[in-house]
Parts: sequence; C-alpha cells; structure tokens
Amino acid sequence: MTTPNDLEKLKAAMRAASEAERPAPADRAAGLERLLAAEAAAPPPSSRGTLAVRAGVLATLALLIAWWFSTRGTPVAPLPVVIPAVVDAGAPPLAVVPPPAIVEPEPSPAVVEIIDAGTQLPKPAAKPQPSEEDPDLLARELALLDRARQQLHTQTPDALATLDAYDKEFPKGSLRIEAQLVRLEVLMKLDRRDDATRLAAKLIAKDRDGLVKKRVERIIEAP
Amino acid sequence: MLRVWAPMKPAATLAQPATVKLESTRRARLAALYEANYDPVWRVLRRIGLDSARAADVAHQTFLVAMERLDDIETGKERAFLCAVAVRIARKNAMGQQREELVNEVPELDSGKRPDDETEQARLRKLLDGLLQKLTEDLRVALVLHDVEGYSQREIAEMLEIPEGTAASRLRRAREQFDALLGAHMKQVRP
Repeated sequence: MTTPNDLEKLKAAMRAASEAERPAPADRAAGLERLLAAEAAAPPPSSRGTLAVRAGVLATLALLIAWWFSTRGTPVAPLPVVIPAVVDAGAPPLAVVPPPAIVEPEPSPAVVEIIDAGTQLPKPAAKPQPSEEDPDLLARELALLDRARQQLHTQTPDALATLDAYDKEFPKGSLRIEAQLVRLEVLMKLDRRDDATRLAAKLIAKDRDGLVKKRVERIIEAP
Repeated sequence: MLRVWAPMKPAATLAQPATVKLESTRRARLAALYEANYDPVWRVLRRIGLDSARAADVAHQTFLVAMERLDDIETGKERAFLCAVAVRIARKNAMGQQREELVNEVPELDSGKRPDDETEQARLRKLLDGLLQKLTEDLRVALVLHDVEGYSQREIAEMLEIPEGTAASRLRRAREQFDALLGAHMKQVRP
C-alpha cells in the first residue's frame, strides 16, 4: 500500500536525482570555448544593439536635427556647428564638433580627440570637488540633483535653475553625467528640443560604454 | 593665454585601452555566467524533454543569445533570463522533434536500492522524465521550473510571459496530473 508520504519521498528522491545530473564535462568545456570564440569574433560591444533600436534612435535624431535646422532656416548639411557651453560650465567655452551623426551615432575619432584634448585645458577657477573623502560635498551634490528631479515634474523651469547652480558649484562633480541627464529631461519637458538635441549629441559622443546612450535614447523617445 | 587646441594623440591610441578593457570585462562576465548557469540550464532542458546532446545544443544557443544581450541582463536575474531563453528556443526548435521519440513506458522503480546509488539516480531520473513526458508541454515546463528548479510562480510567469494566474493554474493542474501518474505507477510497482 502506497501512502502520500511514500509519494512525497519518491518525489524528493526524483528531485535530488535530477539535481545530481550533470552534462558531459567535454561538452561543457567545448561549449565555453565556442562561446568565447564567438564573443571574440563578434563586433565590439559599443557597435552592438538591435537593428530596430538603432533605426528608431537614428530616425528620432534625424527628425530632431531636421526640425531644428528647419526652424532656424539653416541649410541641412553636415557643417561643423559651434556649440556654446550651455550645460558644461567646466568645459572650454566653445567646442567645434560636427552635428550628431545621421548615419552612425558613434562618436567619430575626431570628436573624441577634441573632447579629450579639451578636458586638458585649464579651468578658470578651482571649485570644491567631492570625492569619497568628502561625504558632505557628495551629499550636497545629491541634494541638488534630488531637488532638480522633484522640480522636474512640478516646477520645471526651477529645475533648470537648480541644475545651473549644480553646474556652477560642481563643474567636475561626481554626479555630473546624472545632472546632464536630468537637464536633458528638463529640456525635453520644456520643449526646448534644439538645446536637448545638442546636449543629447554631446552626451552620446562622450559615452564610451553605451550606458548613457541608452538613457539618452529613452529620454528623447519618451512621450 | 592663448593655447593651440589640438589632439594630443592619435584617436586609435586614445580609444584602444578602454575598448580592450571593456572587451575583457565582457569576456570575464560571459565566462562567469556560463560557469554558474550552464548546468542548471542544461538540466531544465533535459527535464522538459530533450536528450543530452540536444540539451547541449540548445544550451549553447541560449548562451549565444546571452552574449548578444549581455548588457540587458539584470544582475541577480541571470538564471531566470537564461532559462526563459532556453525554454523558448527548445519550444521552437527541439521539443517538437523530440516528442516523437519519447519513451512511453515509465520504467519501474526498484525501491530496494539506495537513492545515492548512481544507477538508482539514473532510474529515478528516467521515472521522472517518463512521468513528465506524459504531461502537456505547458504543464511540464511549469512543473519543471517550479518543483524541480525552484522558481516562484511570479518568476515563471515572467519567464514564460504569461499572467501569474495562468502560471498558478498550470502549476496546479501539472501537480494534480503528475501526482495521479505517480500514484498509478506506484500501484503498479507495489500493488
């Protein structure tokens, strides 16, 4: 006579037997080797991503650029554009970079060079910069960003003022990228698409691991 | 003071170290992902009805998908992601072919042997697989993920992209049917 207890014991034994099963070590090792070979042969991660996402982003950027040029009566041509340092108070006052790439959103080597070279120029004045040793400054940075985020939904223009204050106080702050992303959201919310486009292009050009790019895309594509 | 603003180094030299570092980090993460999850993924595939070789093939395809989506995989949910992909690939490619080759007869259980005996474990697995194969595919997948691999209803619902209520219902029916099959088998073995 089989009792429910017997059934439970048998089920537990079957579960244990299942857990004890292992693939052939040779298959396992060969699989890893093939996988790493495939990884080595694949294009660099920065150029990966689904075609659909890329197409969507490119289309959005192209539309924004076309709209920007059309509203200003400037011919749509890939001429160099002078970008005023609206956001980046710590960067040199002017930086000559091409407009956001229409065919490929990756930063061109020339842009990377210019930005890298630019970071080596001396800054007008030394500002207090937070670090791991300065928890108070970091807390201050966080507080400014939190305030800006709160204002984003309730008092959007004030958020811009808060971010300006942040930029002034922390031109090389630890949360600088985050601050620029919040600014991008604010600009989009204020419908200042020309400024948003320039900032988005700048953020994407500086982004080397693709993390910021994804967020920029989400912000720009948000309804 | 006026400064000539010019590139300091050739672009390739500037970009290379970061790229190399990123690539090696990716490779390390991918290898770690594989080491930690290959066996469980392969096991899920075995339990849902694939033979050893097909399970290895589908597991490999699963990790190729993971390689492409590495940046999208949420930390802490790697295994759930891999199992979801594996089940999807198995359903698409292998399970249909495999179904024709299923063993219909559930092997008898020799309860006199100790469960830590390797042969006995193989027999228990054969019994488990034989019973699981008698369930429909949907019920089998839900039962394997929950009762064998230990995922929650919510996780299963996410993995299979079904409502949680549907996952719960599949699990309940799967257990009822599995218990009935197991009970019938035991009656045969120990009348």
